[in-house]
Amino acid sequence: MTGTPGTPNVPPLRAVHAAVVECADRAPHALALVQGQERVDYRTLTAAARILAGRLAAWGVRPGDVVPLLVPRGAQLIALQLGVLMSGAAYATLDPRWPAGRIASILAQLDDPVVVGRPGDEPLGVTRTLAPAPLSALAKEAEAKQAALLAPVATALDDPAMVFFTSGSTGVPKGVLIPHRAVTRMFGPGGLDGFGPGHVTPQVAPAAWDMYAFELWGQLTTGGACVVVEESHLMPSRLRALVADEAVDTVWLTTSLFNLVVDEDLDAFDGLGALYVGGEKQSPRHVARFLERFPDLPIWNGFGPAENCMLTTVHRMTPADSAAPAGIPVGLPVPGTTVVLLREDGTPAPRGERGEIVAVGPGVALGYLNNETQTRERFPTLEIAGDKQRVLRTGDVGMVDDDGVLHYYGRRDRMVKLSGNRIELGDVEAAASAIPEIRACAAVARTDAGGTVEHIALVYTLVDGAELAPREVRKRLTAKLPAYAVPGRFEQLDELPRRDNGKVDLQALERRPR
Amino acid sequence: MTEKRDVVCKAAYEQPADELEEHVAAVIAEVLGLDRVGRRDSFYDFGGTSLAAIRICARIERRLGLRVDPAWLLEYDELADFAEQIRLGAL
Repeated sequence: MTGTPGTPNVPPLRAVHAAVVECADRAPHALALVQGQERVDYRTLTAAARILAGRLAAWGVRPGDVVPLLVPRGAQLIALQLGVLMSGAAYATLDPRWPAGRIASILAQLDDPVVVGRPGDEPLGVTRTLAPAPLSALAKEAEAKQAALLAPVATALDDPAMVFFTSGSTGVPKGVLIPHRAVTRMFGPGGLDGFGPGHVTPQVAPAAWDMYAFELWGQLTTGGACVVVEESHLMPSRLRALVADEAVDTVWLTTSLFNLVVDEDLDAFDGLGALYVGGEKQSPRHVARFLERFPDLPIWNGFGPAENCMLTTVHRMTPADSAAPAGIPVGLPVPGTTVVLLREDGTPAPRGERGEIVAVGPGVALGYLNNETQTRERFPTLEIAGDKQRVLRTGDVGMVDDDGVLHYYGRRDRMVKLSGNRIELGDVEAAASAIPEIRACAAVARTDAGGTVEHIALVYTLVDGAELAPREVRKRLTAKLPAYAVPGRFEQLDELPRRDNGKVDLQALERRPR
Repeated sequence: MTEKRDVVCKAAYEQPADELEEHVAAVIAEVLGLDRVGRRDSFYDFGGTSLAAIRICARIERRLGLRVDPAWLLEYDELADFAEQIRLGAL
């Protein structure tokens, strides 16, 4: 399974900011960004970014640095991210609403970085501030000092561009270091459906997440536009208004939100041109209902971990898929991606046999930030079809069927997806174990009949004589974990069930009725 | 499957105080699968997740024609406080 860049019908690899500047040169007055009343064209966006690149350099940012950004999602953050790339550095966007301890543990992984954020957020680690302002003001500044602008820094396709933070299994977030080539590999002529001039995508995904790059750079590297949705959640009513007022046509939704919109307000999808759904297992029932109402609207199952940037495979879903006993496949590799399946012993699994899904090609991340051990483990160099190549071992189990289509079967470890968010159950347990009143605990994912995770439950015992209400456990975890990783259920037991070998019987807890 | 509110929640039940609270209580009970929800009950006591919050808000929007942000429910998790946010948002 393969899609090689440079071959016909596969987009060329480019540096992210170079691709945006190319669009600006081609159509300077084309719409790039919308946020509320602010409408920004490509010329204004790139001019503002150049001014910010100059400021970053003056603050001491050098090519190859990682610059943490604690600025909320919006047009200014986007210009700042573009500015970081123009200065030759990579950005790591953190959410200022995360617990302070989590932000601190991420900043501690970097070597005395320049941290850009809002005035007042210095206690979170911000070293340089940027007050909210429209991009047009920065662009005017650029006009005034044309000659004094920072000269563009040459960037290689393999240079780091951005860092995405995911849940780590031991309580410390893992930073995935993504190069320019990984982002641009699937967008452009011959690339994914729904990107380019005339296409508009809402930007709703959290800025620390890889699908943020999908929504944003998918359009901005090809000449399309992005509408920033300031709310954390895309409500069906908002989607309807975006289609009507902003001509939004290409949308990414996590599976659980897609299912919700199908249940609550199916007609809200009316007017879209392409829909990408993923991050979790698909629900055949919801896909069938959608296709009954919108038989001609392309709906793609999008699959892949952040370590192989954004998406690894896509599949245009059909009514036949939703009736297939094997479930809905995850499909064929996106441009710039090869997928191989390996058996336990490292040999290739033939068609029809299960194996670990391994991704090869320009989408593969550079590794984990400052974590050599995990980088070596997940990104080994293997011999693939006679060539030695750096690959990503996804930890996902899959199978390629007789038609060459990939099917996904689950994880080899304790990572789960809830509403599209990656959660390491070990991370939740590490946070809960640090509460002094808790003696022992286990985090388990409970699924519905279709295998979709409904909620995370924390099952725990207290030390003798301690008293701690579930509401209090929840409150303490909220101070340590990002909101999406805080369990939805809290169950206090006298003893945790254990297997013969003394280990907690997780399967018993998964089945435990609520 | 409907659960009994009084089994899940130990605190005494307090009745919704006006029409808006009654509508909101009905939607929360429906989405979370409960027989009833009191005005001082927390959404989190019933295992509320951000996805459940979106579903609740989408349903309130459609039934009452008001704009409702799920972030309000996630922050003001007690029914009476959430209803107050909806009231303020409609002004």
